[in-house]
Amino acid sequence: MKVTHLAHAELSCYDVEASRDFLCDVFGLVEVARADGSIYLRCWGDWQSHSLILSPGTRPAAAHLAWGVDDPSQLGAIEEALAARGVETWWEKDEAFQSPALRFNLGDGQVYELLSNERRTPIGDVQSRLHAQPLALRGVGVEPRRLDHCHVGTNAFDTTSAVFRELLGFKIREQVNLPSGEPLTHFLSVNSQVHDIAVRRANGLDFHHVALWIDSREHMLRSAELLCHRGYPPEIGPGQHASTQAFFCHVKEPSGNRIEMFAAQYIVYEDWTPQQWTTEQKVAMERALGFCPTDLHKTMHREQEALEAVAG
Amino acid sequence: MNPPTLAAVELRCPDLERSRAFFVDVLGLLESDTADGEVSLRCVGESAHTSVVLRASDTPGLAAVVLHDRDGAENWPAATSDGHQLRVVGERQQAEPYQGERVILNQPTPLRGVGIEPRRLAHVGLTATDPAAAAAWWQEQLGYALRESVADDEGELLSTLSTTPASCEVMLVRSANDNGGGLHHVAFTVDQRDRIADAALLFAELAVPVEVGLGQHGVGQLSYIYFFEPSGNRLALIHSPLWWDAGAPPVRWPPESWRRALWLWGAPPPSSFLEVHT
Repeated sequence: MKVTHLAHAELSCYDVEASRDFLCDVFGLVEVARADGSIYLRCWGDWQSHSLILSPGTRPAAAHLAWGVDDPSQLGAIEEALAARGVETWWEKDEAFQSPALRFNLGDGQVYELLSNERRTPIGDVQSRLHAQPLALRGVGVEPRRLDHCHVGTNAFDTTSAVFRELLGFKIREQVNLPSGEPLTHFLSVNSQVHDIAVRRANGLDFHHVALWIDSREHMLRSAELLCHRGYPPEIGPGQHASTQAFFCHVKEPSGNRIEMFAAQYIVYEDWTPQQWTTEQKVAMERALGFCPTDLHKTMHREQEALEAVAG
Repeated sequence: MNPPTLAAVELRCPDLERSRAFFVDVLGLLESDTADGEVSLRCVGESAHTSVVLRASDTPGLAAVVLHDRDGAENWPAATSDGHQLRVVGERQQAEPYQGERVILNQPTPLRGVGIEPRRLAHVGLTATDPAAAAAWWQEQLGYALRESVADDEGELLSTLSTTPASCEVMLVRSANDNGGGLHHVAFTVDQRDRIADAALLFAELAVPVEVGLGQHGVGQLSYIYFFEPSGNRLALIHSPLWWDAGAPPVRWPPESWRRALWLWGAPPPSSFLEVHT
C-alpha cells in the first residue's frame, strides 16, 4: 500500500467564522459543508470533497492531516505494522464525507489519518463545465488551485520520517543537514511533487504551515497585493525558496494558522536522487535570492538555533 | 509647448567593459554603437537608437539625462535645480533597421532570448536635497506632471513625475549626503511582475549584488528589484500597472503612510536605499 497524496488538513481555529470568511472571501475557497461545528472548504482544482476543515480549537494547529491511499484493504496491515513500532492507532468513524479512517500519533501529538475511501465527486452548483476540472472558477479572491503540502516541526522527527518512508511509500527528495551532520529537515513525497510533507526536527510539535498551490508567480504576486488591500499583508514573501525551487508567500489566517501560497516547484521521477543542503548553504542561497533569511527561519525555531551555531 | 520626454540616460562607468557586458549579456539590452570609450544601448522594444549611454569615467554616476522635444530643442535649461546635466534633443536618431526577417512587424528588433530583455527605459531616479522643490522645478521649467509625492517625519522624501500616462519618468529621491547631480537609479520596464522573479533567480546565480527585491512599492504600484551594475550604478527592473488618466490629480502619501509608499510587503529596503547614490 502506498499513500497517494495529501487529501485534506484540519485546522484548529479559535474563530472558525473569521477563518472561514478569510479563506472563502479573500482566498477564494468554496464552503462545501458544515458539520459538528466544523466548516469544510474546497479548492476549485481539488478532486477530493474538501481540502481544509476548520474546527473549533484554542490555538493554531493541524488537528489532523489526512492522506489518500491506493489500496485501503491494506490498512489493517498498516495498523499492525504501526502497532509493532509502538505507535498509537485508532479508527475515526465520525468525520463527514468518509468511511472510518485509520488514525495514528507518532508520539509528538500530531494526528495523521489514512483514508479508507475518499469522496471524490464534484459538488452541485459549482461544478465546472470543463470535464477535467472539479469546480468552476468563481473569480473571487486568490483562488489557489489545490492543496499542495504540509510542513510539520516535530520532536518525533526520526520516527515520523521513518514511518512515512518505510510504511507509507514516501521518499526523501531534499534534505537539510545540521552542522552536526544529523538531518534537520526531510522533504518527503510519495508522488511527483517535490514534497507532500516537510518534516523538521524541533523541540516540540510545531505545525508550521499548510500550502495551497498557485499556478504562477505572477498570480502569487498579484495575490500578495490583494492580501495587502484586504488587510492581511504577507508574513513573509513573496519570495524564492532555495530548497524545492519554489516561489512562496506566507500569510496568517485570522485564527493564526500559517497558510503558504506555493508555486513553480520542480517535479521528481522515481529515480530521483535526494539533494543535500547544509543549513549554511541553504541560508546563503536564500540571502542571494533576495529576501532576509532570518524572516523565514525565525518561524522555525530549531533552524534558528542551528544558524546561530553556524554563526558562532 | 510640449514637455520634453525622457529619451536616454548617460552613465559614468569606471569599468566600462564589465558594465557593457552586464547590460548586453545579463540584462539583455542591444548594443547600438561603440566608439571612443562610449557604448550606446537600447532595449528590445525601443525604435530609437539609444536609451542608455555608458561612458568611461573615473567615478560612477550620472553624466546626463537626455530629453526629447519633438517640437525642436530650444531654450531648455542645461541643468536641473539639483545640478543634474540635461540635454534636450529635437530629433532622436532611429536604430538601424533590423536586417533579418521580422515576424512581428511592429517590433523594432526581435527578442534575442538573452538575459532579462526589459522592453523599455522606464524612468530615471535623481537625488534631490528637497524633492518637493525639485518637483516644482520639473513642473515649472519642463512642464512635467506631478504624479505622487511622499513625506516622512523628516519632510519630503520622494516625488514622481511624468509627461505620459505612465506613472513615472522621473523619480526625485531625498538624499542626505548629496553634493548635487546624484543618480539614485535607472529603471527599465519588464512585461510583467513574473519577469522580475526571473531576474532574481538569474542574479542569484551570477552573484549580481541585489540591494532589495523582489518587492512592491505603493508608489506607482510598482514591483521592483534594485541591484548594482559592475560600475556601481544602481539599476532597477520594474513593472507598474498604474496609468494616469488625463487630468488625474497627484496623490499625496503623508508621513503616516510613507512606509507603504516604499514597500507593501516583503523585507523593507535597507538603509542604503535612501543613503547610497552615485
